[in-house]
Amino acid sequence: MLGKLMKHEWKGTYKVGCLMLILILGVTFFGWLAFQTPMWQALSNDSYYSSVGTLDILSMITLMLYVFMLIGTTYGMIIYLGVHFYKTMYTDEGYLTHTLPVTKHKLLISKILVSGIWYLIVSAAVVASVIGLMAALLGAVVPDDAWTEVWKEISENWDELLHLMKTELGIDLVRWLVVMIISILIGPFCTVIILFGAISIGQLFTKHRVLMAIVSYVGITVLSMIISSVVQSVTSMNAITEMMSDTVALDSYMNATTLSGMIQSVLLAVILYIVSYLVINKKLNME
Amino acid sequence: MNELVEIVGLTKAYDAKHVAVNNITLTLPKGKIIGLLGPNGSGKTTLIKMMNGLLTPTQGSIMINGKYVGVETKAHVAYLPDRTYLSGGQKISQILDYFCDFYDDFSREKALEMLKSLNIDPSTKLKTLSKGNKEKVQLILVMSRNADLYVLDEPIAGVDPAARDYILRTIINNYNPEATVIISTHLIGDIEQVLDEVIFMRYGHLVLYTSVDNIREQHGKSVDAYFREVFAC
Repeated sequence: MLGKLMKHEWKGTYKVGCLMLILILGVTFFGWLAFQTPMWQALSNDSYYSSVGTLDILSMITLMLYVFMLIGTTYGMIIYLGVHFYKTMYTDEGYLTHTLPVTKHKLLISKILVSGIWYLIVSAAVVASVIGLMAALLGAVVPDDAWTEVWKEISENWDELLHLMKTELGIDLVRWLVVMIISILIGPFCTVIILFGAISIGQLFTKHRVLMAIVSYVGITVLSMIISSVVQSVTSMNAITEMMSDTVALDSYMNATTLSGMIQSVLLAVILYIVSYLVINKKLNME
Repeated sequence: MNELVEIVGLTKAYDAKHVAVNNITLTLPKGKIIGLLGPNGSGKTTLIKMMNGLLTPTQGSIMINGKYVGVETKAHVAYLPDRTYLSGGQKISQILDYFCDFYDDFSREKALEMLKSLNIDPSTKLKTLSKGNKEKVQLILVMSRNADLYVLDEPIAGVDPAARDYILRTIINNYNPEATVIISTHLIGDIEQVLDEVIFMRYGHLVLYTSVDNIREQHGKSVDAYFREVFAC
């Protein structure tokens, strides 16, 4: 049944998801276009450029819009996923959702997995857009053979680089990258679980359920930021103390900060998953 | 064992002042068409929602076919709510796929046959249909299931008399004869001829549960006339 639930959840969300991806693609194209003005061309040709023209002003405005649009797309996607969850779980459409012969866990997991995957795809597209644009800009400024040289150097001396980072700075780059990648991969799922949990908390109120869901989300976010700040401060203090006596402690600092952030997100997600489950299992009150 | 639904001490209170269903105990048999009747705010829809797991009871329990309301009961209960619960952007054929995927007792052939009799094209998007046709599509989905219990909340409210006839005909011709049908409505005169038993509710309380024949024999009145007498303002 989980597969069927996910299939229909995917069908219900793919149109908006694809629309967001097309939007990112379009915005990226305009971002690239903005780098084609005389000012940027002069920069890449290493030639002197004296006056800023209308096209250059347009370029700057386009780049600003590019940044805002990318941020808007990311938030737009998360808002859409929240609205979709609310609509299919707690409005008229919920009458069908909650009368399906499936367990509440499967219902929640199907929504979390599909929404998490969409959020991950859109976030990855945003990152790819920024990297792509930066690469295009750097590609225009830095000559091609210089890039080839840099990559060649890195690939030839990769092992030595890792060794130097380990011995001189105490950083186990591979381990740190693994922790970072895991953190990036589970982040979107934690985000949607926290969002769905806040929406479910809103359902515990008899009136103004949407407003209470928003208040809950803001409350949870603020609370997690406070806890995160406290934990980070303690971790940093410990790491700084260690680093003062031992230069190899940078690795433990980097791992501790990345790990503590990940553990906090996972813990919060677990708590809010339980909250959502309890609300739909024990406190469901469809209006 | 002829009991299908067993409700014991069922209460739903939103707060101290708002008790929608108050300590109802009731046993419903298999193979009957039962009218759930009562004025607005009597607790009919609240009772139905609790039977379908859409509301959590404050107290008491409901068992359907010997099972507490949950995954197993939902597989055997066909529920028609008093609102459109389908996404308007979907095509009817997609909704049929959805029902085929989740309900083992759903017959796609039966649904297509009923849609054809109404000249409704399955490739049509739900939002393009009239209100009456949307309600008919929802009813077709429910009645295309071979369920043990059909719970229909206000199936004939808000539609014209011709549509009412169609809906009642659809219910009578398509329900599983071994099953029980619970129909909640205000329009008693329209459904009286199909009912075997009636439940009267007022202010969340169970006022009466008896057979239609009993009302006619004991009171010499139709259900509609007796309802008006019991609930006279």
